[in-house]
Amino acid sequence: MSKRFTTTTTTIGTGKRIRGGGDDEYEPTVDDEVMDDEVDYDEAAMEANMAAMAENGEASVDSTVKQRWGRPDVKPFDPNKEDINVQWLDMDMVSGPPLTANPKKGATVLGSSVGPVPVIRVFGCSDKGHSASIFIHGFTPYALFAAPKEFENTSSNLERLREYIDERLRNQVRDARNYKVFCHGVKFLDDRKSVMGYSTTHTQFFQVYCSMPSMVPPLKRIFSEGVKLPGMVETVSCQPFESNVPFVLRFMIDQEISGAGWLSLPAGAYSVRKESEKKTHCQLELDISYKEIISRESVGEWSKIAPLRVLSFDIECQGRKGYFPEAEKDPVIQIANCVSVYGTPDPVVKNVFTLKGCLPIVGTQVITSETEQELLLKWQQFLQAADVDIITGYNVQNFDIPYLLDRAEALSKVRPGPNMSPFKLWGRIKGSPAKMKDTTFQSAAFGKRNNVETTIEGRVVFDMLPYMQRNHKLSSYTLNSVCAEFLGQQKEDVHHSIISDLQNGNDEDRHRLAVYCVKDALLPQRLMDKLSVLINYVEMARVTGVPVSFLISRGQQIKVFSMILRKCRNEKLCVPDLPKGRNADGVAYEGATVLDPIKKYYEVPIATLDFASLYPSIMQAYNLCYTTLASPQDLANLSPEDYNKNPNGTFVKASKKKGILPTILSELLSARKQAKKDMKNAPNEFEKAVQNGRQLALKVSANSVYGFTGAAVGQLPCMAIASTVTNYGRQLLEKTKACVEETYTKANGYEFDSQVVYGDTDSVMVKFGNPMGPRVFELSEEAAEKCSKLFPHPILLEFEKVYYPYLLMNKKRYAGLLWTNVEKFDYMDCKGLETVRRDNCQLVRDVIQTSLNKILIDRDTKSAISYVKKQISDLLQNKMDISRLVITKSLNKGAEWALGLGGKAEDYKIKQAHVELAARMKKRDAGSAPQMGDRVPYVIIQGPKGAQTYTKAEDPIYVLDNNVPIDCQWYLSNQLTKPLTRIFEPVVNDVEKDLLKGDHTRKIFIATPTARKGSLMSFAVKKATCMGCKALIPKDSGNLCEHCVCKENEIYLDKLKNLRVAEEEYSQLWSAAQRIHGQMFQDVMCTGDGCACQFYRRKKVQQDIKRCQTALDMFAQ
Amino acid sequence: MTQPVTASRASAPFTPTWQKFKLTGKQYAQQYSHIYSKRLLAQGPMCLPRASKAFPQATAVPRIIELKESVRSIVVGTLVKESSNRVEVQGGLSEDAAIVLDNSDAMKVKAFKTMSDDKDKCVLEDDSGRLALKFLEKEDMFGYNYKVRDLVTGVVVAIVGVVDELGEMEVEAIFVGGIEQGDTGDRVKEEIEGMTKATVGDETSQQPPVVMLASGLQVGKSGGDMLPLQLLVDYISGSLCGGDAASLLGSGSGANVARVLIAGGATGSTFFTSGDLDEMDVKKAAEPIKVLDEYLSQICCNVEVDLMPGASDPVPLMLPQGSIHPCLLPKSGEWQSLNCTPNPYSARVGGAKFLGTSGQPLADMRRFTSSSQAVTMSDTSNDGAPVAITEMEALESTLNFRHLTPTGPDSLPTYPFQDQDPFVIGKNDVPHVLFAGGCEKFETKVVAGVRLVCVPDFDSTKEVVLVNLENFECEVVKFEVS
Repeated sequence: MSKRFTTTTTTIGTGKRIRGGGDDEYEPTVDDEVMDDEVDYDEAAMEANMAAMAENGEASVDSTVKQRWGRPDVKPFDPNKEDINVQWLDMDMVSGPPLTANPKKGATVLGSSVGPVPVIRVFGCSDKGHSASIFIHGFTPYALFAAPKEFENTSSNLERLREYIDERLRNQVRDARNYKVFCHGVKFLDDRKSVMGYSTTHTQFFQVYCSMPSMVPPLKRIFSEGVKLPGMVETVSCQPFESNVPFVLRFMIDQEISGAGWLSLPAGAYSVRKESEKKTHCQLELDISYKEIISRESVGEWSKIAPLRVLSFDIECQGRKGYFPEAEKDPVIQIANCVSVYGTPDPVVKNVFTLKGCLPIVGTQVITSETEQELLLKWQQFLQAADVDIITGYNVQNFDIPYLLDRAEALSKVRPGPNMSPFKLWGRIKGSPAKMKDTTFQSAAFGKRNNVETTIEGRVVFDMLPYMQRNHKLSSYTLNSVCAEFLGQQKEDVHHSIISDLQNGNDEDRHRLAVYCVKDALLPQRLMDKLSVLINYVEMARVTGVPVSFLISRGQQIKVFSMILRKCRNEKLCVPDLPKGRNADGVAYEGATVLDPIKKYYEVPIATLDFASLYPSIMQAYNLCYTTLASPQDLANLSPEDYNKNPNGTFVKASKKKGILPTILSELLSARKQAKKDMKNAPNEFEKAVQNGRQLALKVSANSVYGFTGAAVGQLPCMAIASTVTNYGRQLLEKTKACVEETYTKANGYEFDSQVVYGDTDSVMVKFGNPMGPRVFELSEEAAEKCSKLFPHPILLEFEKVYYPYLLMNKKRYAGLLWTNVEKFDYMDCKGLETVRRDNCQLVRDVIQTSLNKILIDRDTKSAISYVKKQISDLLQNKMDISRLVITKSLNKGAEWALGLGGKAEDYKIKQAHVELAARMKKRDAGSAPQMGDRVPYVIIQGPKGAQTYTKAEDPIYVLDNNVPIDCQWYLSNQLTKPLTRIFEPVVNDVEKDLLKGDHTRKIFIATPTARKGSLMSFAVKKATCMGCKALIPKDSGNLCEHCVCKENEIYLDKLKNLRVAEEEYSQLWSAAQRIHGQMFQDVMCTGDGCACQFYRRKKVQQDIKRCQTALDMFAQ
Repeated sequence: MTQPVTASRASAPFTPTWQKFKLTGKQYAQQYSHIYSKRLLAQGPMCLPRASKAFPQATAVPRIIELKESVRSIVVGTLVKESSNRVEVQGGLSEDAAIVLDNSDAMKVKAFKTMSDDKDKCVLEDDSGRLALKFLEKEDMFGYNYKVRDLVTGVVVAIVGVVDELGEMEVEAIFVGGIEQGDTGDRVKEEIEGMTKATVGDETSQQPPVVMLASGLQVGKSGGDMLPLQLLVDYISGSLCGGDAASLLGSGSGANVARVLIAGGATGSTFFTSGDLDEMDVKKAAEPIKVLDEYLSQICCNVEVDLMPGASDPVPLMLPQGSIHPCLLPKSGEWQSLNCTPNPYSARVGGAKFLGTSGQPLADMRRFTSSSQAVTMSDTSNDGAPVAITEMEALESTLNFRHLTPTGPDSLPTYPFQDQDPFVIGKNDVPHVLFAGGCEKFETKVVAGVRLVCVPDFDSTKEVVLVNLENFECEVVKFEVS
């Protein structure tokens, strides 16, 4: 089902996210919201749920089935003798009573002894493959506040302050009656400093402990509003520090726990809960005091990955024709699942739950149900029995999961019927249902998007669709096309209009549907393996030190923030919690520089000199950091050798004080070097993938540091740093240009005068003038070295590639053959060309690609020109294959209005061709018309003069069937002209004259008006014409005129030739389509959107072959 | 007193049975799925009993979908072979596609390079689904135990095996339609009796009637050598005598040729097989056909001629190919003795069933199979790469598979039949003589009473084959001029 909702879920780019929880970096300026996703303990509801479960026999999951693919059993062990190692994935916090005794014999209970206290819950998988939940006790939430210089640090003052804060919190906290104590203590710190600025006024702090993380925001408010400090007359407002750190992250940072890392529970320090005491479905449930848990650094043995269990699933629902499936009305008819264990090549179980009977599928368990309720409840039991760590699928986050939950809700209202409440128990906490939360994601680029976030305690939901959208630039994100791209696998799309028919059919029809459903469940899993998604995310979590869930649901910033906090903790620095949006009011700074391109077609090699990791290395070289930003006052106390002046900010040199950002960066980059080395020496593929994931994570993290400082609404923006980085970037680019152009001149004894033809952000394109050969590589190497010497360490200009030939069209638009060695070019590199966008028709893609091939690879501009001319003249003479003219766009938000399905008029202001067409097709035949979320293919046909384009869009099938003339001129001027001009401008003198106008455009096909109902042509009488020369011939005198009779054999051969061409194409296309879809006994039903089976060509060849056959049949046998 | 010299040509009664290969009112709205269904329907009952007989304890499962895990079962379906080397036709007409059916010399090497190797995978399909097949390295057990390399897509088989938990079937044995002694049935008695022998000179030198099988004459081929073709006419007309010619005559005199059957490749026009058809010059393409017209007239005045079209002849491409259109042969068409037949050919001659094609199916099958003798027979240039099976092996396979064109429509252009699969060699269709034209060399063999003949390409071998209608013995006549 997922394919239909593709376009509604884009979450790429930087945007503003509004969430309930207040810990996100895009948070609006609301300070007093709950800080953490604290999980409510609604005891009453839980009890009820547990009772319901017992009623429905939750434990009655088929134990025989379980044996085969379940988790390994926990063998009895002695907690005093054995350590337990767990790779954790999910961490959250609940409130609960404090421990009565530390599980470690003789150790004291840490933290508050009066409840409720926060308990950290960690879910993961042990190295033996057991699911484990660890309850970590004793960690107390706190926040830091700048203490005024005047404050006298005495224990009585601190105790008075605690009492004062406790009292004020009591009045601020909403559920105050649940607590006896609010503030647990105030500590005075004078060994720390603020991270902001070279010298800072903030050098002493209050560390204020409170009962619950939810009390941190009120605490922050109290201190900002002003507090009366003991021994001081005035109320003072204290700057908060690190009060915006989510509690879980706070804990991780203080205990040096990295994301998705291994935690060891040493023998004797933990206790194991008995089966009867268990609150979760995990095999192991452990209690431990927070100081006892050991965090393993992810190196050596501990860089391994536990046998994590992954569930990939897909649902099918029976929608009504013309509508989106709605959980309120449309039943779920199938759920296919595939569970795999990390490190095991094949899935451990594949099954499908179907509504009504279904024939068996080999290799897959088929579980049928008579009612939908039964189906859902059986699936829930399966989910719990499978006890997976990760849940994946394609668009499950926004479709499958909410649909199932909503559907269960809708079904619970059906009476009489079974109790549906156990269905929602998906998580690992007994009696706690999965919870959905609507989130809205706003971005300039994509508008407002609604997302659903579902919390399934203890399991991580990892949707492959947003992952693909974030990490891969593709023309289409349907599961089908993504799999074709990465797995080389194609599946036939079952069009949703026939799902209903299949479901209503017999066991065999449902079997067919189930086979597709199983495949849809399997593919996301395959994709995940193929792209090493799991490894990459685990490594990213380890490198940046945030939980895996943060990587999925949050942006880049939290990662950098986590790294900064960790580093600051070691350096005894504190990070201020700045009011949000302080810098939002347009402190725009100049971004990356582009050197003006000298647009031309270069037939000499163009060397590309790249700065390696430019921005990170600038920050290192110039020691740009919060801690090194010198104020004007600072400058007075410093000698000029101690700092670098820059118009955007002055930073102290590393010799004086090394910044933390440069330290972080140099650590990241040297770690990356190590990872790359380890990757090369990796003993096996697994290890290699891990190291590759690691080096990628390190690279991405290093590059995101700059963005963090420049994000105006971020956690810790510092425009001085960001703008200084780009300023240095600009300087470096210009220095390089000057250095190259001054050095490599004839005057200096070189063969040619060099020229920098283009430069962008971190690369400079140099024309040395020499012909292709080793000399170019030598010169480039030399130039890179020479320029690098001008720059401070570690800024490095590298020579990597040569473009030859090189077609420079504009800023960020160029194409060239890329050479990394003298012998052979590597590939053709095109930047900024819309060759792959499906908004363009195939013709455009073909013409651009072929032109570039001819110009760059064949080095034959003439043939490129004649090719383009031929294409244009074919187009204008209507010889173009219609499949090459089809444009496809999907029906998105706003289209409902045009289609009369509701929606709002203001969402559809500008008429769009494909939407208008869909509306017209609906009138023609509502059943076969495209529906919301579908991609609508269309061609532009000839219309009345001056008609708007949107009125001229037509269904290609209709065009083929009715022989409707295409608006060739439109294709030339609206599709081809722009990209052609762009490419050929540097090559030919006058594109307009030489290419787009000229003899080849003289001959234009003019459609014979066809006799359509009501048109003038319906009155015309059609006369017989000679098959050879089109001359009119008398009726019933054969097919040839008297002059052509003697040439009958030739005319026959001519018609025969056409038929043979069509026959060959027909048989190839149709048998290939059967092969692509892997079925010979069933008709190919694919409508070919993004599919290799060439729907339009198949359709067209059917028409062609019919026409040719008719012509040949005219010859008397 | 001298007896008057009587000379009379041998004759044999002739009944065409090719009606099912002559199509009218072709439609193209249907897809290729029907032909597979009809083929399975027709051939399933041929394979199943053979498997059941050999494995009486195995359960015969009516459809793939009903297979159960870990039960030794027999299931019938159509085989699909997935060659990793297969050149997929992306974007329609790739260069490789054009060579599929090619018989011309230049393309031969490429066309017969097999795409098959040991990594090929097989699945079985019927209308209920697909089943992956796993082959074990076991020696022959019962009947025809085929290996992956022997099989092609489109063959209907009964498979004996056990489905494992992954849903793959471990194959124990494979049964194809198969052929047995006596399947050909008896020859039509009256027609046997209706045959007359050739008389040259006196009664004692009577010769039994023969059918001349020729292929690839390529008449009118530019730069072609007309002399061997002329010798062929002279041979048939009986005007070849004396000198070197005597050695050519073999046992016959030419008068014993009751029919000439041209199994494709009569025209020397290369337009249909090479280059861009779009750019074809019709005037030039018509020239060789005119020459053929003249040439055929010379033969037709002597003897009955069956003219089958082939890949390079001016007829539509898809099998079955219709007969060459009369407007292309205005002169020879005047002769009643010229029969323009479809390809495949099916007729009774002297009461015996003749069935054959112009060779396209063999060429296509050879692209997807490899010889078991790959290692021993491979020549030095081949680097141990798989070698295609011989034409005779391919021809024998079609008989065993009981199908004239198993690879159609998958890789062989075939008309999308809806109601039947006419290429199935049904119970009553098993021929006495099964031939294929366009072969590299002459080969013949008898399998279960069926005479198999690979008819050599005349243009490259200058050979024709004479099939004795009394005993189906074959003889080659070579028209080489040294």
